[in-house]
Amino acid sequence: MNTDKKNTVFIAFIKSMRTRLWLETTVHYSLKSLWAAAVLLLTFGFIHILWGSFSGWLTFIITLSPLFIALIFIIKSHPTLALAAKIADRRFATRALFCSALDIINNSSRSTLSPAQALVLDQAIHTSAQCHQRLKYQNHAFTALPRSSPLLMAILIGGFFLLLQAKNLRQTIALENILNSDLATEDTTAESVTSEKEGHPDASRDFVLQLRQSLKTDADNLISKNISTNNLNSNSNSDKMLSHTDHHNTIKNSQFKDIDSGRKSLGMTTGKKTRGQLAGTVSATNNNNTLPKDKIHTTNVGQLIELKIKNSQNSNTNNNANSNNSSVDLSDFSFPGSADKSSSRSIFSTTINQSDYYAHLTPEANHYIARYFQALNANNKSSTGGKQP
Amino acid sequence: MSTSQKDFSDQVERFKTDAALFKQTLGKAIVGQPQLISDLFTAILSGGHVLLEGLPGLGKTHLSKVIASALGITLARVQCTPDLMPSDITGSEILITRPESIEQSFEFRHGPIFSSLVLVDEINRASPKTQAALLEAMQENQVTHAGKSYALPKPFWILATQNPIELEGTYPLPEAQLDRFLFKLKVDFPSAESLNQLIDLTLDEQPADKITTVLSHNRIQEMMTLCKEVVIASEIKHAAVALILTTHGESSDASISASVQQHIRYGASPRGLQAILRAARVHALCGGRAHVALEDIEAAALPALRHRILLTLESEMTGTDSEQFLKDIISTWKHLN
Repeated sequence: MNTDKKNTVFIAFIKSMRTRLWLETTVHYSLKSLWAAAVLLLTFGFIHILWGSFSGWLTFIITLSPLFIALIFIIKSHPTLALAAKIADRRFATRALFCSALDIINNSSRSTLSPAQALVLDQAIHTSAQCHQRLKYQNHAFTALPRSSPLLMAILIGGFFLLLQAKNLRQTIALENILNSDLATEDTTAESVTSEKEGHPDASRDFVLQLRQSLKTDADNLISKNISTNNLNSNSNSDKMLSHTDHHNTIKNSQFKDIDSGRKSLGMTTGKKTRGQLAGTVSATNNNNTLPKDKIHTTNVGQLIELKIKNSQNSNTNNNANSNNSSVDLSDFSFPGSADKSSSRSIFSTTINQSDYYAHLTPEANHYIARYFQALNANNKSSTGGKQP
Repeated sequence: MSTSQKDFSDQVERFKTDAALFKQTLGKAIVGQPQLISDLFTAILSGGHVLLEGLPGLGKTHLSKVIASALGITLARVQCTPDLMPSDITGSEILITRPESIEQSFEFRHGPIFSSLVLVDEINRASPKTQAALLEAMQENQVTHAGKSYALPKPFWILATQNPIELEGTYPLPEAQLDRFLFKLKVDFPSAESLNQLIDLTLDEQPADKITTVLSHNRIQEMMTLCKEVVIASEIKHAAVALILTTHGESSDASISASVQQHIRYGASPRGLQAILRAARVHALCGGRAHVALEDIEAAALPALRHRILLTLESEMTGTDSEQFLKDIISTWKHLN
């Protein structure tokens, strides 16, 4: 083996060492950045899902930012041969042999080497051949990974699944908030409309608003449609009722409360226009007994809601019986799980064709309504000791 | 491996063997001081002078005699007192009358300094004027008298001793003179085991009388020449420079820099850097290597820098241990390199 080839062996070893160092640097910065990214992902991911304060893209960019910073460090920290020789000396305990040999190669030509320099170079070449074998084994990527890597991967995977769970958690929280809000309204029906909003914590505000908006749109469209088809002045009883202004106002106010309660149970917002429309509708409701029996049971909403549309005669009877209480029964729709009549919730006038109404709901709204009544049913079961009405 | 390379490798091995033999020989007479013996050997082969500091009775003078015996060289002793004159060390001109001639002439009579190994005992008792007479001899290896220079023998070493506790009537060595000593070595009190051995060895006889020459004058010269061949890589040189700069408060470690600036009035001189590297080469050869490593620098740093840093007045008054402080500096430096 001639001198140049010997030097090549040594230089190859130093280059291999440099590669190893760069690999370690890459792993080091990558792991650090992954840790940072994991923390950011969990933090901003939860904020995004639970509160929606950040958009998904912003969360994604924030999560990736440590990786970009690490990439810059990795590119800038490419080690030199001198540094590689120095670290090789430290790792293989060769006491500056590689440093000295590299220095000799860089600063002296082979022909002018002193005996001491030639001896050092030979020793370095001989030692590097041995060290290179050890280094080849160490150059596997997995050996550069620290023991914390599995933990990091577990955290990342766990965090991912947690985020998935958090999405369901968010829906559950929102439904519970609706339920709580509804029950609270039931107890305090005289509260103002503004108190309705206070029943929902900020955590589910976005979801609730979204749900309300969806339902409101559907309901308003349907109500508008049905108002046009209802003949509010056809019933003579209504004239009689309207002639008793005070009594009518009392009834109307009571209706408003129940309507609000019903709308609120679906997460709908109230407004004057809608309230007026509903008032008209409800006024007509009490005397409308034209709904066919085949629309009593509607299974459009996932077969979870059983609609009981009372017979208008019974309704009138009840109205007459309860007229002294200045109340009109608005529980035209009572749902399974309602412990009794008083706890049943009127949503819309019975003059509305229920099949049409649910047909107009979006699948998402249907889904939410189903979830809501599921939760409501469970709540009523627990409140009545599991007894079904 | 070429012939010259093989020869050099053999020389390195022989150096290592001779060094071990020399230390072993001194160890027979100087009990319980292996580090002191090793440092002395390093200083001798570096061609440097040594300042020995220790309490009376620890064998400093005896050590000098043993070294002279082991090296087969003459030992001259100068006992310093306040009235010692420079000419008592360097020599003086005397009037000589030759029998064959009636003419009389002045002739320079060499003083004790014209020996290969000079023991300057209790050097801090000599007056500054006398101490200054040693400066030229230590640095230039020559003595100038009456306008004429006289070369000192090669190799030339001065072993000076001083007592750290008896300071009354002494003249502390000036920094310029301290800087000319390659090493300042502390002679520690021996352990109980060493004291027991000492009794057996020296109660009735002088071990120095039994020491035979293990390294001839020529062999010493060869070994000193070999030391100059040792390779010092640029990285090692940079590291040594960094160490010197650290004693001046210029370190990449901010905490040690602040500490040095607080406690050290003046750091090590460039002569200190030379001393470290020269000693490191000997240390490397003693380890059988033809190149200097960081460990060699570290081994040479403490004895070479011990007398080259000056503490601030505040640090001296608060009793800061300069030796421990220097160890901290070296430790930090090694960690950074």
